[in-house]
Amino acid sequence: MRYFLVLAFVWMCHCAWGQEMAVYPTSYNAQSKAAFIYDIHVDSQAVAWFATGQGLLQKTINTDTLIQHPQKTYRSNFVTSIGHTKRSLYCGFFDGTVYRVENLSFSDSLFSTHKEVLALAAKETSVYAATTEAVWVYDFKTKKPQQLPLPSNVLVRDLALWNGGLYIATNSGLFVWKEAEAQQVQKGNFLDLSQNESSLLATTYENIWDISPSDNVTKRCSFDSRLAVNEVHGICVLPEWQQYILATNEGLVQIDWQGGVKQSTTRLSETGTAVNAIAKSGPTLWLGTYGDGIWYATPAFAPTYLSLVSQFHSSSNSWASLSKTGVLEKGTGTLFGSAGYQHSLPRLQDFCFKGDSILGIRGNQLYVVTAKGTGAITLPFEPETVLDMLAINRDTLAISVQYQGVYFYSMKKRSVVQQLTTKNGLLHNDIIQLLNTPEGLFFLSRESGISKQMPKGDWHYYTTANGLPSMENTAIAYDGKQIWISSEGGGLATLEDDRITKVTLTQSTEPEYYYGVLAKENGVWFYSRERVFQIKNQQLQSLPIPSFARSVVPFEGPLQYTADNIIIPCYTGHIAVPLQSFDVTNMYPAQYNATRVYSNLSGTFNNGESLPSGNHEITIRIHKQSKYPNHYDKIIYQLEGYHTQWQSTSGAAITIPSVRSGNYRLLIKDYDRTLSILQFEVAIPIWRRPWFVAIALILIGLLYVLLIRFRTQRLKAQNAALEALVAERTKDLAERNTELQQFTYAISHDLKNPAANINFLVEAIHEDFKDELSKEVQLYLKQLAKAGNKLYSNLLDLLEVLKNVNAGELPKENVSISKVIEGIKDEISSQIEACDAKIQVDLPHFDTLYYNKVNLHSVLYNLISNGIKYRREDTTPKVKIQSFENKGYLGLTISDNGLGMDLEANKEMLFGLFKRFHDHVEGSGVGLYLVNAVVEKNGGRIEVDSTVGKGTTFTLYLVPKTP
Amino acid sequence: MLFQVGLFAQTIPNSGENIDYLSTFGSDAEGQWGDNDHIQIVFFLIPRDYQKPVYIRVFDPDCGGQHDLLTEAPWDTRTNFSIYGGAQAHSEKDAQRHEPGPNYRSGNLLLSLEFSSTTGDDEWYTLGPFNPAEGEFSRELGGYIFKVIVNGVSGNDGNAYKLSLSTSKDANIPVPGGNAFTYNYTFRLKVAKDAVAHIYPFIDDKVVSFKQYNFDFDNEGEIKLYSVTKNGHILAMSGENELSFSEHQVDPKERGKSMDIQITKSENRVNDMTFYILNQYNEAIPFFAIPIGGVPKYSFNIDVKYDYVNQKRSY
Repeated sequence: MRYFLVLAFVWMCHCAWGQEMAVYPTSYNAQSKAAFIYDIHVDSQAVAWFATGQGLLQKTINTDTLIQHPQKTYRSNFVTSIGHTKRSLYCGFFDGTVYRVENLSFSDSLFSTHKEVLALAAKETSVYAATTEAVWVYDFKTKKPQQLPLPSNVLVRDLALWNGGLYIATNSGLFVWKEAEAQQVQKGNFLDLSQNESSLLATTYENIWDISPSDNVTKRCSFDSRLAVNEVHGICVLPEWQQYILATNEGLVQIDWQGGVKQSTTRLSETGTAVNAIAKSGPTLWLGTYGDGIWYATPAFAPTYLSLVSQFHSSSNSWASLSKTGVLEKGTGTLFGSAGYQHSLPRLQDFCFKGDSILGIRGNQLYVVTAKGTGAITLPFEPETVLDMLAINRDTLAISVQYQGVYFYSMKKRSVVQQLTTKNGLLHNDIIQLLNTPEGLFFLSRESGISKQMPKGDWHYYTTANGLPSMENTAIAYDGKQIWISSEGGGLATLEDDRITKVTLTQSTEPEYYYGVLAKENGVWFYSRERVFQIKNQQLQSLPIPSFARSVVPFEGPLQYTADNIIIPCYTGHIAVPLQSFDVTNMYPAQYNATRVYSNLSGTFNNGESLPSGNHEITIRIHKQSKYPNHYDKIIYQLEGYHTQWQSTSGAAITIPSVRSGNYRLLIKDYDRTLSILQFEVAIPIWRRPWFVAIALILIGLLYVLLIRFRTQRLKAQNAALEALVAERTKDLAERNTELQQFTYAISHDLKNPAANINFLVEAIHEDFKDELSKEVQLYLKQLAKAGNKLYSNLLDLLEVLKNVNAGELPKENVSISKVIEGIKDEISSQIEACDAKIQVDLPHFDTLYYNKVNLHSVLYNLISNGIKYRREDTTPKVKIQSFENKGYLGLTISDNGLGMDLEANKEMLFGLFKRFHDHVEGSGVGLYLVNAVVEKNGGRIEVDSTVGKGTTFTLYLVPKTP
Repeated sequence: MLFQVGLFAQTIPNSGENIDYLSTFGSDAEGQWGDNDHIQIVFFLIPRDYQKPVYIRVFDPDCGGQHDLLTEAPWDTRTNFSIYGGAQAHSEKDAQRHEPGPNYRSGNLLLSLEFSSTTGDDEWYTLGPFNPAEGEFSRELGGYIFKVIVNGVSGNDGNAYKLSLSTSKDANIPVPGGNAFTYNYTFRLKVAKDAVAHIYPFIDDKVVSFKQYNFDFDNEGEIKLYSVTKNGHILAMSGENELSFSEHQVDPKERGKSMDIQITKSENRVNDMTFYILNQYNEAIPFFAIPIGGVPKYSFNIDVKYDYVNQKRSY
């Protein structure tokens, strides 16, 4: 049972302690084959190369360049591995070919393995390529590839050139190829080889192995097989955080340096994207995913979050923690390394060390926990809320209880021997911390200062009255020499020989709110909301508390410790800060400056200076003022105005290839601190300055005005010339027209009399020689008379037409339509009576029309008379005249029930001169022509609707309405 | 919805086949257990336009615990699962034979894992992810093909398992338009009397006649053939550790369609068997997990039954 609880506790801690690393996608995240990343290589210029499903991708600060295989078939697109020397880059493809990269393109194929190239390694004289079944070597001298002999049936997983040998990871062991022979240096199912700065790391399913230069293989750490990792594609070592980062099919796996305990899986997405490649460049981890493009991470200080630990106490050589489920664990040494013993107990209110045993309290039970087991003592009282407890000596236990002061309980007597309250010496009854020192017993109250009872029983008090910086104190600690006091608002203070001294932290710019303190002989640690501080060897260092942990601090109280961690209490557990984190070089932000800008275009410029306009390639040198070695890879920078993202640097110089006009500011981020250290301006070119633009705009405006004016005048002149020409031609045309009209009229008029004379003469011949004429001659004369009548009638009609058409603008007046119709009815009364025609007049809208009376008469006369003339023999003719008014016109409709016309067949000739549709009735074919001519001349138009055998309706749009 | 996913998932055996497990015995097992070669080759087809990672999942990859068949204590069988892609993975003729030829492990080996009796019992184990384009491109099938070779490396017990193509590492989510097929099918029939298993060979345009072979059916029930022109033709069935075959002519109407071979059990016991079909050129005909053209449904006007065992016709 006990063993099970231990396992359960350890496994719960596994789950809780894992802290996921923040990862971010890059812009190169296309939903395409390029989203599959197979390998990453970062060269000496910090340029990252990615083997992708689309080709080789070169990624610099601000450019992505994809180098594709010349053939671009689906198989040749795959770059599956990258190998390199100082001078050359090589790529292995999915189809087994190996190419050298030259001038951002693939040269001719070096050789082919005929199978996917899993891994490449190169040196100046040869290139090694691994497939699952073999390892090939290509010698540049012989220019021939050959297979290296390996044991049969091995599956090759990875290879690496290191320490003069070729190391090959296989499913049946790790081999090294030296002196033309493969030697197995370690058995096992190896998945990956990754080069570290000082060693070669090899990974099996559950272990990470370290290969020394002498080929000694030692296990560095183990990780849990329950992570279900079956592929490892690379390891990055983060010595500053004591972590390995593994790229696996399950995502990123973080493994604590010691391994086996702290591990977590960082999934790049909810579906758990596999990470297929990993490479470290300065502070950036490049991550190549399988199907989700390129991601990156910037590992930061990551303390361990002990979410399941409700209480933690430490003594000089051991520590003990209580889980929220009541498992008490005692350990010595490191936090994760050596647990002493565990006990399952009720959830204690508090506990403390008493020698090698632990005393815990819950209800009125005092539990005594030793390596051998647990016993319980019933207390003579039942404290409701224990604030602190402390073993004063071998016999006496001090228990601080909320609102009740401090009880002193004798273990031997099994009774309370004393109770201290405000009545007998304490400043306050809520004592949040007890501290036993050679000087006396200290009682810290939350807001009432510190009480000290000296060995002889005398009291001494420390408040603001005698120098305490704040009355709101959070913790006290004793380093063997002096008392350290943390407070809210008062910062940190020391108490030595009854003298209080406020500690001034020159480097701190934060408000002095500290929530706990730990003091040991070799150092002092305390923390604020933002940082954890260490004072050691009279030197102050601090670490930023990561954002994820800031939500749970502060929780006031003393800090605890183990051999390798500072333990900070927080609301939902504890945070363990590795002591080694403080030893990371230059962890505390250094001072930076960059005073000069070096431009290839114009020379050297000082901070704040303006560079001449142009396209500058600039270099900025960063100066780091710190007594620690210059590790510039711990910082990132951003040239505001040029970069949109933070950049990494591996040196003190930043070179920007192309900077144009604008204001620039160089920002340095040192952990979580952002510093602006340099500003400069590249002058705007003259043609982009406002005054220049204004003048240019004015000049352009003037030019435009002049141009418009010139064009207007020219158009006016051309217009005048055209008008003169038109006028001249119009005059000429009018003259010719007049002459033509006169000619036509003269002919018509002059022909009228001879035509009339023909009739007269024929009639005279008929009368005078009637008896002498033969019947045949009489017949001819009759025909002649008929022709003469026709000629005369046509001439009269033609004259009427000419009179109307050429009459020019005729005077208009208000004409009564009904009167005009009455006149017409009188004129054709004989026709009406002959056929008993009915003429119906319906003028609901208007009776009077502003029109030329003669014209209106002519129009109505023709249409009414036509309606009667072209009647059907079997039907009484009816003609109906109606007025109408619509949006555009005043008009009349004249409809009859006569013969009708075939409009489809005769549409074009309806209003033609001398056009006729019925020949059985006398007619000249002038009427409708005249009607149309008159209506159109007066600005109107005619619509006709007619059905053969049913009748015709003329809709006359006579007078346009003025808008 | 779940029903839909289950129905069309690229799992082999598929739910439409009413077969519980593929079955591969250790290399030391005798043929009487139903596996004639200790090798199962399954191909997964991914449409050419699908470009996201895919996974190949194995249910119960170990040989021990539940589902598997212990022939002789203790559990001693090791089973290797290897995934191949790239050139020749499928197009190599040796990989398409009913008895794998010498080059059946053609193509690029993408992943190889070996299971014993400890890991993966009664659970889905995920292999991958894989880039779909790492499969071998087949213009005829319109996509990329991955080859999974399951090999009983040692031991004499029977490993029962399922294989599935998935877009998810945690569940069997089918690849849209994907499929799974095999040329030689060694499987475990349902342990239930009267259970009917279906296998769906696809008859392409060049098949004139075919021979069906079944091995170690133990004469347990009957095997019938259904197609657009064949309504329950009785096929030759095999006895214990015996290979039987019968030859059948293909009607032109049957080409370009899937047939339905129905295997009906008559006893309530474990029975592993092997099935494959060869055309007139002795080329193996693939069985598709998701029958091409859907699960066949036939209606017949004229019904001619032919008992190939007894050489009789009936109407």
